[in-house]
Amino acid sequence: MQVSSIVQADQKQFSALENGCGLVRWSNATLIRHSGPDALDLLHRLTTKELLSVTEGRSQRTVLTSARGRVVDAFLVAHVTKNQLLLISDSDNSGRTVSAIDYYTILEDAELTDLSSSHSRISIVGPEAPETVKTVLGLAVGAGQVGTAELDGTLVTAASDTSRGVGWIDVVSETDAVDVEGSRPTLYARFESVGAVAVSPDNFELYRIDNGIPGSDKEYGEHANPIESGLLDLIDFDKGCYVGQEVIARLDAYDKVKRNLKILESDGPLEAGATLQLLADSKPAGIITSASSLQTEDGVYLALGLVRKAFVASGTALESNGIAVRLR
Amino acid sequence: MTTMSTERAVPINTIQITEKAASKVKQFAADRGMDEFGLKVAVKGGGCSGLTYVLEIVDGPESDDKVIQYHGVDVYVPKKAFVFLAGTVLDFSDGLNGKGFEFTNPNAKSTCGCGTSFSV
Repeated sequence: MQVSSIVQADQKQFSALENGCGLVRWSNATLIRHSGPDALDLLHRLTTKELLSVTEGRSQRTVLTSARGRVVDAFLVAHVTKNQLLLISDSDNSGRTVSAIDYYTILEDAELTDLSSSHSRISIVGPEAPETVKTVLGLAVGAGQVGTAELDGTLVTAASDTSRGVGWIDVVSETDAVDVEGSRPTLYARFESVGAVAVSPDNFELYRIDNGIPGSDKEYGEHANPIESGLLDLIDFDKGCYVGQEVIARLDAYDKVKRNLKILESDGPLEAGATLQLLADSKPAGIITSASSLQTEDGVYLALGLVRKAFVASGTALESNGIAVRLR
Repeated sequence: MTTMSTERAVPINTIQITEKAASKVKQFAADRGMDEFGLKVAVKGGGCSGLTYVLEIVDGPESDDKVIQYHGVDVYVPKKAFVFLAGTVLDFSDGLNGKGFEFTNPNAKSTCGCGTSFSV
């Protein structure tokens, strides 16, 4: 008989994310330089958020959807300097985003450079993220702001992302400066030295689920529209046309969205990709999109799921693979 | 978004504007006091279906524009945009149900409700 051991969330890491500052290292995030006088206007025309007001030194997350209204990618647009944007996305498929933007670049004076393999990203997450960034980089990065600093001759960009619902600043630099041990302290080590706590991928995943933060190719992606996948705040319904706008506006206006993103609780670990069913009569009720293998301090397991709207009322009893599931 | 099934109206190596559209372009140019003018027809990224038509009265072509003449109006089409517009007819409809300038583009697989954007 195989007995699976219970692994609990690391309280030091969790506490840092909730009350202090956690360091989240991305192994393969999408980082794209989009430069040229037409770059911002092009993204404004292609994506869900009003971007013309994102002036130099400002940042705004937005969603690129297909003509069918499905999510291609969600990325932070950091307006670093005049005509120089840095696009930061959680997706590990930078080629998909570069190809999609490039497809619509016809007469525009705008150039895309994929920095994903030459640069690295750390997310500074938690209420003390701004103070930590200020201590290490000497930059005051307020909500929706971008700053750059030079450390040992290397340019570092810090950009605030207000879309996550928690304190969040992305720091991007050349990979050598961020991660590679050498004669100088890495950027990662500099943040740790001032009290930021390194957060492991599984503990960050639990934190993300606990805060209902949608993940790339999990809650959102080509399988879902941005409304149902928890990206509603990244849609400006009065901004005018963008790719997929007609479909998304129709979904909203006629209340045609069939699923909602919900946080799920259970007494046993759930499985991403598994179906959700009504406990009473096994009717299909949705799908689990992310599941944490860690148990919380309260002894429950958390997951995210796209749940059919008919069954999203609090207290509805669901199950997945024989495990009872509660909607938070 | 509407799926299109458009029969080819003009040869694929050109684009055409109707007499009515040409007349309207001349009127707009006269209203602006322009003696020398042409109609720039192009495509840019954006719009519900991904690609948006661009119409602009300009005083001359750019160096890489393809120049076509119909009904006394010079039409300038950037070469990069021509691949999306080859075979297109530009018309003008007015009156109570009129839509203004209308594109019939054989390359468009679908178009949005207002007709200003399309996909290929």
